[in-house]
Amino acid sequence: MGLTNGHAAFASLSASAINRFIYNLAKARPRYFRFASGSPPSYLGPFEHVPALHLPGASGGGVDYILEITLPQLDLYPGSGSQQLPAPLTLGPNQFSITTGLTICIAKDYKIVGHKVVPVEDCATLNIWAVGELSTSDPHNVQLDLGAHADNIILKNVGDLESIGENLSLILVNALLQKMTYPVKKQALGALTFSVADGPRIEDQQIKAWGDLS
Amino acid sequence: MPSDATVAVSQDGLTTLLHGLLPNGPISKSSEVEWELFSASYDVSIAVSGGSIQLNDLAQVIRFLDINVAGHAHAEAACDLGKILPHLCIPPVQICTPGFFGRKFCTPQYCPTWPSVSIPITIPLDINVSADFNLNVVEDGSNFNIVLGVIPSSLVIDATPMAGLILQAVKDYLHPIFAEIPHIISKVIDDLVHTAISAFDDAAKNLAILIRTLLHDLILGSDLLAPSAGITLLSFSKTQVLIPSDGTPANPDVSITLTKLKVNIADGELVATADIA
Repeated sequence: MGLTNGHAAFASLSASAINRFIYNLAKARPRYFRFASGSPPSYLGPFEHVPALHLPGASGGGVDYILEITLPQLDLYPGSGSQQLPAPLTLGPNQFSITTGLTICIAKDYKIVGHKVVPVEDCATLNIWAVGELSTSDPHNVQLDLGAHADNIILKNVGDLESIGENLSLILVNALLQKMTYPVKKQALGALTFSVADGPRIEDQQIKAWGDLS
Repeated sequence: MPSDATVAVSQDGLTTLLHGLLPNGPISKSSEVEWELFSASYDVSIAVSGGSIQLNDLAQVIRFLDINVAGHAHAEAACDLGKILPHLCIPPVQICTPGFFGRKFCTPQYCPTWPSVSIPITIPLDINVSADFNLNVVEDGSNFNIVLGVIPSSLVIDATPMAGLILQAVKDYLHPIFAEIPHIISKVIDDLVHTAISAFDDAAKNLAILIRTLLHDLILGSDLLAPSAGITLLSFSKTQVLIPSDGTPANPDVSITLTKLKVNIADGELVATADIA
């Protein structure tokens, strides 16, 4: 029986493989991880443009800001032990945890340096931990997509803004995870025409799937 | 720590893959041979089907069991009967009586000239063969391939029934030829057939072995069991695109790269593990 457990084929990716995938995603599509309004400093690299923050009573075009998502690290149940989740978060069967961060910089003022107008930045970094589960778009269909949602999220060091910060971060992290959707059958690495019959499931620090050969 | 990527196939799964590798339609091969008294051209035409997989954890060997080989072997065996049959006259002795003017009157005598013959032989084939393979990972440009290499000595084909069928075909062909000789009696026909068959006996056994060798080479030489190149059972592209590009420069492919592939047989399964960079 072994790995295939009564099916024709088995395919799995480990947490380190998924983290390599996330790293390659960040390299290939940096705009998923960086957002900015106005004309941000060039150190930011490629980014997704967003409108400035318009605050009531403020003059001008609004407050410019930059949002950077730190490269997320994924861990799969039962966990490698490298990620310490703060209470009350726990990693349960079929769950993954994600450790990431959010760096927010606002342009609080502007100054002239040489001939250029340069923003004076005020930055803060939030550390984010989240736990989530796999979702599939259609379990009866041959093509299953791996998506995820973080349904329990903790922020630290933000005082009373914790709850608002958590909700906003949850939205951002889930938006990122949505973009990491791939068909489960691709775990067979193109070697087999694989239709998923069981899974995907998270166990033994892997995303596992079982299938039949069509 | 689990491997970065693991793909496993069960015995039943491998049987499904095997059936996809069998050649569609018949395959054939021909050859010729010449001995001192006989020559033959022969060919084998077969269709290959069925079979199942057995995995041997201990020996790290995959056995393809009971692949059915069905078809025909044809041969044309040629010889000059004059070289193998005795000079014969019927009746053996002429009786002559003296006649008038010094002439003799003799009883009629018929001495056939043995012809050269080309004997068609058809042998139906319906045999099961099994063969063993070892497993290797071969890097081939942009792929890692799991390749099966046949162990040629493991392919055993029993040829003993063929020799008897060949001799029977020769007998069936020659008997009517001899029966057409005028005045010949059936005992003589039988003796002639027996003499021809005896001369042909060794050749028949050799021909059976040659046909078996041709069949062996045909099976081994087919796409299924190519011994030199090996059969590619599974192919893994080194670059695995998990999220394809949407065509815009801002959204190129997102891939992972396999840097190493290992394969082994464990718990009755074929297990391939890959490192990812």
